[in-house]
Amino acid sequence: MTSNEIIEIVRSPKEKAASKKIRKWFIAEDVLMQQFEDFEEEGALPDLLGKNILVSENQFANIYNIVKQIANTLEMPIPQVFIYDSYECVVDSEGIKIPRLEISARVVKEFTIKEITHTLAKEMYHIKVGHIYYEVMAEKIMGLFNVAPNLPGVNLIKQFGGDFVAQGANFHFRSLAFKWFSYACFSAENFAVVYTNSITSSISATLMGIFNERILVDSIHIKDYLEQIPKIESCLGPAATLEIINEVIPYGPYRIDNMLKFVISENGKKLYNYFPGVL
Amino acid sequence: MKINKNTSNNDFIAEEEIISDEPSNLLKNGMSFVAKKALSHSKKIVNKILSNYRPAITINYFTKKEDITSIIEYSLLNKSTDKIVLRDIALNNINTIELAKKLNDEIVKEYNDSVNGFKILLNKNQKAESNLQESEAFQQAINKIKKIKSQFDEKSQFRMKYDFLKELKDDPNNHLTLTSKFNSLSQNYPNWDNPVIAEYLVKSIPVSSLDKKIVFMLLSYYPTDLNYLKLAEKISRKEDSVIFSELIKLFS
Repeated sequence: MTSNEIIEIVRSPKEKAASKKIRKWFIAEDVLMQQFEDFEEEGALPDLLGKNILVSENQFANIYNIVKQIANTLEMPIPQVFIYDSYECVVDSEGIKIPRLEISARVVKEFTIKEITHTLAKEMYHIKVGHIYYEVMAEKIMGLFNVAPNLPGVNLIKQFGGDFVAQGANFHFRSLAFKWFSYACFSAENFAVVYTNSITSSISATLMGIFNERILVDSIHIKDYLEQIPKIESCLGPAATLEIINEVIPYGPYRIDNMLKFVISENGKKLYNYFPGVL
Repeated sequence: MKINKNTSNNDFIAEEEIISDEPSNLLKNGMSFVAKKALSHSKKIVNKILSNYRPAITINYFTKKEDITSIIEYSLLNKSTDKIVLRDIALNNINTIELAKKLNDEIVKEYNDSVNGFKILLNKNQKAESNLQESEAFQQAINKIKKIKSQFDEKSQFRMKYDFLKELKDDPNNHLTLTSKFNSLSQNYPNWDNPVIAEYLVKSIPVSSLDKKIVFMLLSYYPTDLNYLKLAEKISRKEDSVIFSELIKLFS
């Protein structure tokens, strides 16, 4: 199976529709990307190399090997992987020109190999399908909305409600972008759960990423945890709705529910059996 | 109340009178009235703006009676969710099907009222020999509502599901009638989706002749239910049953 075929299977149909919607708002892509690559990405590199550990065949070889295997499956170059000190359990993907993974030391210390595989597979999927590009562009566009009302010449328009238009447009775009990110997260977790080939490890890795404490994660009763979903959806008041709209990463119960439903779907079963899992 | 020990007795009484002087009831009630109105209006406005952004309610998550009734009560009070969605949620539990029927009747009435309203306007317009453009607009509005009504499908899928569920509630042992009603539903709507009907079928049909689709439909509503997972393990291919074995172990 090629990487494109795998991506097509795991990709949430809602993500496709959502990415089309935010794509329409992307303006001055070349300039904004150039600015990101030349300043933000390039500027982050010295600190990344100077303050963290760059994973290699000799440093954290187990992580290097997992990343290499995932890169092989997804038919992509091996990204740089940095390990940094943090009290939180975080694995993140960054970078456009030189994609990289950032892993907090607690993940290396406390996660099992299968749990690490899940989190790395999720983030590498984000890199492979270009989610980082969308994420950076969305942030840049939101930034533009914030500065637009202060541009010279726009002050006149402000007198006639121009800043309200900018605020409204910003709110609209932000809600589209956050919705897209939720679906992108579901697609990446669909890939990670079948690649890891252990639903138990995928669930615990996801919960550890949310709660950061093994004692909390081990005490969660999945059935009861999932029953929090109808309670969340029953929160329909304006304040609750605003809170839900402003959430970038989907709530934990939804993420677990999504992975469970994907592995028992026809597509999920096909891929679950295709991947050998962590040896 | 502030007490100043250095003041004379008379001064003390005067100060007490000023401090305990309360706003009149008229002012209190007036302010409370204005505040209530302002809050209610701002809630309405924010609700209206946010209605386009509110995430869609997922029907599959609502199967418990208390969750269903709570979301329906809140939504009807605040007009926050489409009645068709609420009606379909109400069909997810045998104890709320009458609520679904009530909502369905209300939706039908609302459609009919809208069509009748436009028909009256159209007639008036035609009698008064008003301009053609307006008459056409009324006719278009009527056609649009009729189109929505046909999509909403009040007589077909809802009616068939409701009939089945009503029979199941009133006479659960009448398998002959239930089978006939189910056949009618599945022939007209092969992609029907309902947890109560699926549960009934899983209980009443022998595993050997059970459609796998029904078990997986149930799992989409109850992904952690051990009985359905065990059933899925039993009816799945050997390579797929590994997934269900793992899930059974996880939720046991």
